[in-house]
Amino acid sequence: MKRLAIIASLLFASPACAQPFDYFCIFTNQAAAEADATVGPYWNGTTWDLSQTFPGVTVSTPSALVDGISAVTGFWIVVSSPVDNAALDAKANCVMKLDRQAAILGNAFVVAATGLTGTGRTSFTFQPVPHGSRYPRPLGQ
Amino acid sequence: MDPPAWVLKPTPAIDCNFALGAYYNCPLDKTFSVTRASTKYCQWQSQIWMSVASGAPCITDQGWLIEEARTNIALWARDMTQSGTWVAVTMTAALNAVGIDGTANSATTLTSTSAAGTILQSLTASSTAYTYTVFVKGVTVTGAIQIADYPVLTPAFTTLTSSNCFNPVTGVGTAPASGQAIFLRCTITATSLNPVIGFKFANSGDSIIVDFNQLEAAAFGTSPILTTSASATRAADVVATNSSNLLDLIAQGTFTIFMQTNVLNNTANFGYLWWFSANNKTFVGNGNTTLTIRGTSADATVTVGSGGWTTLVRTAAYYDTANHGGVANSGTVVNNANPLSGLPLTTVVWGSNNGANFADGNIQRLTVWPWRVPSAQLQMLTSPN
Repeated sequence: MKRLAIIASLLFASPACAQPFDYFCIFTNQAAAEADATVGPYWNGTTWDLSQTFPGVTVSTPSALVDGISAVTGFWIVVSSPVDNAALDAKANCVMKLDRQAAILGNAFVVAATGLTGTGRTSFTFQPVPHGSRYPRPLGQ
Repeated sequence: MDPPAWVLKPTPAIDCNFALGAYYNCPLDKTFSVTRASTKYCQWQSQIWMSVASGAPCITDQGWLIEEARTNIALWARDMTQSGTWVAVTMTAALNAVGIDGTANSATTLTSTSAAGTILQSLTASSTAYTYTVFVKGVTVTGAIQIADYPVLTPAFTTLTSSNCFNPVTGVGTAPASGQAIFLRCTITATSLNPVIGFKFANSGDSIIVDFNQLEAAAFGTSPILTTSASATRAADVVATNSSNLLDLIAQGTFTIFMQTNVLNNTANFGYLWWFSANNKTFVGNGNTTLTIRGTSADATVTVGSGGWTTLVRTAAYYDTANHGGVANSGTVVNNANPLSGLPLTTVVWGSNNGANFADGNIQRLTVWPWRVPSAQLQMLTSPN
C-alpha cells in the first residue's frame, strides 16, 4: 500500500505530471533557434534538452509563409511546458500554443495561435508527435 | 529510532529502494525532480506495461527506468490492419488480441494463408542503423517466423530465435512457439536507407500476436512508443536531485547504485554521474563494463564485468578530500589518489550530461552515506548476496 500511495502521489499530485502545453515555434534555421533568447536556453551548446523540446519536427501546412518564414524550410521546435510560460507566450516566433490535456479530453485545445490562422492552422499536421498526445491530424481547430 | 530492517547496513543517510517501493529518508518528490515532456510506458514484473503521465517517474517493481529521447518511426505500431501502411501478401491481420498493456483488441493477430506470407511497412528515412523491436506471442508456429529490417529493394529476413527474442522481464532468450502465454520482445538492428520492416512466415497457417512494432534510429531499442498515422517521440527522462539533498557540499560520502541492465542491450549504459562541478563529472558509468573515476592526472577504472541480460550490476563509489574510488560487484576497490577537487554540487544526476549517461536499465536502489564507507564494507555491500 505504501508503494502504491507513493507512486500515486507522484503520478497525480505533482503539477509537473499534468500533460503540458506545447508551444510551436518556427525560426529561419536551427542556428537562429539556438541563438534565440527565449528558446536558446534549451540548447546547451551541443544538444537540445530533449526532455522539454521536440526539435526539428516536420510540419505540413498549406500556408506558404508563417510569420514571414517558409513553413517548408523553417526550423520548427516544439517546447513543452507543464505550466504557462510567459516568455514563450510573448515570443513572436512561437506561433501556436496547444493544450495537450485538452486534446486528450476531446476539448478545444488551441490556446493561442496568433501567427497561424485559418486553414494554415486547421490543416496543420506535424510529426513526430509527442508520445501520449492525441492531437488530430490535421488539427481541425 | 532504528531504521527498518530492509535498510542497508551501516545505516545510511538515505536508502531509496525503488523496486521494493520502500524509501528511507528518501521522499521521492523532495529528493528528485523529473523532467519528461511526454508519457511513457513502464513495465511491471507481471509483464504488463502501463503508461505514466508526462513528468512522472517510470518506477515499477522492477526499478526506475531512465531513458533518452527516442522516436518510433514505424507507423500504426499496434494496428497492422491499416492496409495503407502495412502491405500484406497471403497474410491476414486482425486487431483482436490482448496487448502488452492488458487491453483487449489492441494487438494484431497475423495469420499466413500460404507459405512465405508477408506483411511489410516501407519507410522513407535516411541511411543509419535502425533497431526494430516488436512484441511477439506465438499462437501456431510450425515453421520459421521471420522479421524484416532491410533497405528497400534488398529483402532480407531474420528468423526469430532465442538469440533475438527474449522474455522482457527475465531476459531469458525464447523463440516463438505455439500456444505461448507471454509476449516476447524480439529485436534486430540493421543499417538501412528507407528501411522496410515486418514479418514473413515460412508455413501456411502459422499465426502470432504482434504488438508495438517499433523502429528507432539507434543501436538498441527502448520502451514502447505508440504510433498511429504519425511517428512519435518519447521525451528524455532527466532526473536530478533537488538541491540540498543527498550529499551536496559535504566533504565526504559514499553511494551505491544497484541496477539491472537493459534487457534489449547488454552493453547499454548503467550511466550515472556524481557531479563535482558542471564540467567535472567525477564518477561516470560507461556501458555496463566500466566505472570511470575521473582524476587530475589520470582516470581510474573499475571493471564492472561483462554484464548480461539479467545482470544486476552493483556499484559503489566514495569520495573524500584526498581520494575518490569505487567498486563493482564485490570486486577490487579502485582508488584514484589524484581526484578532482571540490565538493559535490549536484550529487547524482541521471540523463543530463549533454544528453548522455542515461541509465537505460532499471535502477533498483540508490543508497547514500555521508561518510566514506571502508573498502571491505563496500565489497560486502556490492556482493551479489
